[in-house]
Amino acid sequence: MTDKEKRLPPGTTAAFAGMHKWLQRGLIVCLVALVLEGALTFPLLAIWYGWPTLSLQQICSEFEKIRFNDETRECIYPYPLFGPAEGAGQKTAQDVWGVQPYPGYKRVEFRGLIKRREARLARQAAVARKSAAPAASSPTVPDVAAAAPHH
Amino acid sequence: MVALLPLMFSMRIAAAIAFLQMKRWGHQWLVVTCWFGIIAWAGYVTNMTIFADVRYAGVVFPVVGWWLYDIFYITPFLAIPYLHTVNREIFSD
Repeated sequence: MTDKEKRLPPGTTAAFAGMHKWLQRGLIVCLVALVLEGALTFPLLAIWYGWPTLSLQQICSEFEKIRFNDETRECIYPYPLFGPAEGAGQKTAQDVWGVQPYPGYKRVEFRGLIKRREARLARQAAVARKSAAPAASSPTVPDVAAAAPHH
Repeated sequence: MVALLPLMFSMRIAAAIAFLQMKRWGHQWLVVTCWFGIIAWAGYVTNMTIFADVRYAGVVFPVVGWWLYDIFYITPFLAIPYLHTVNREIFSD
């Protein structure tokens, strides 16, 4: 046995020393990356969607509004364990159903839920102001035209 | 998938512990569970390819993001050549 063979890791013969070195490097890169992915996927997605500006439940509520194309939907938390499916009985979703359902909602851009929520709150505030104001103050503008445009 | 993954990972954890204890069966079962991983990987890639129009319909970085995220799951492809070329004489029966 030469000095070089003595320094090889256990189980590695001289013929496979080079291959084992590169396999080990590749495996270390992959395993470290997988641990980082496992640790960071949820926090990074939460930041993408709008946390900490929005709470996780507010993000969940925006998802429901998008998924079911219905601005009145709210995220129920904690959801009753044996309650009906979230989508049970809904009639508003735009998805194409079938063997492979195709989603009909728009993708969520970086921090897009925050803008979406602010736009909705502004719209609701405008409607509330309109209905609270005396009818005589704006007799020529109908409520429908004054409401902020949808999307 | 839900039933398969816990089963596979408990087998793999047991095999990995035995492998670290230099047991022959630990080495053998690590090879077997690596092949399980390749089967799961092949099924996942097939599903994500055939149904890409559905799977990536609302995704911001469909192709690049998928590669960035999933390329690291090739570990069984690296582990199997190692396990087949390691000197088996050092493991005890």
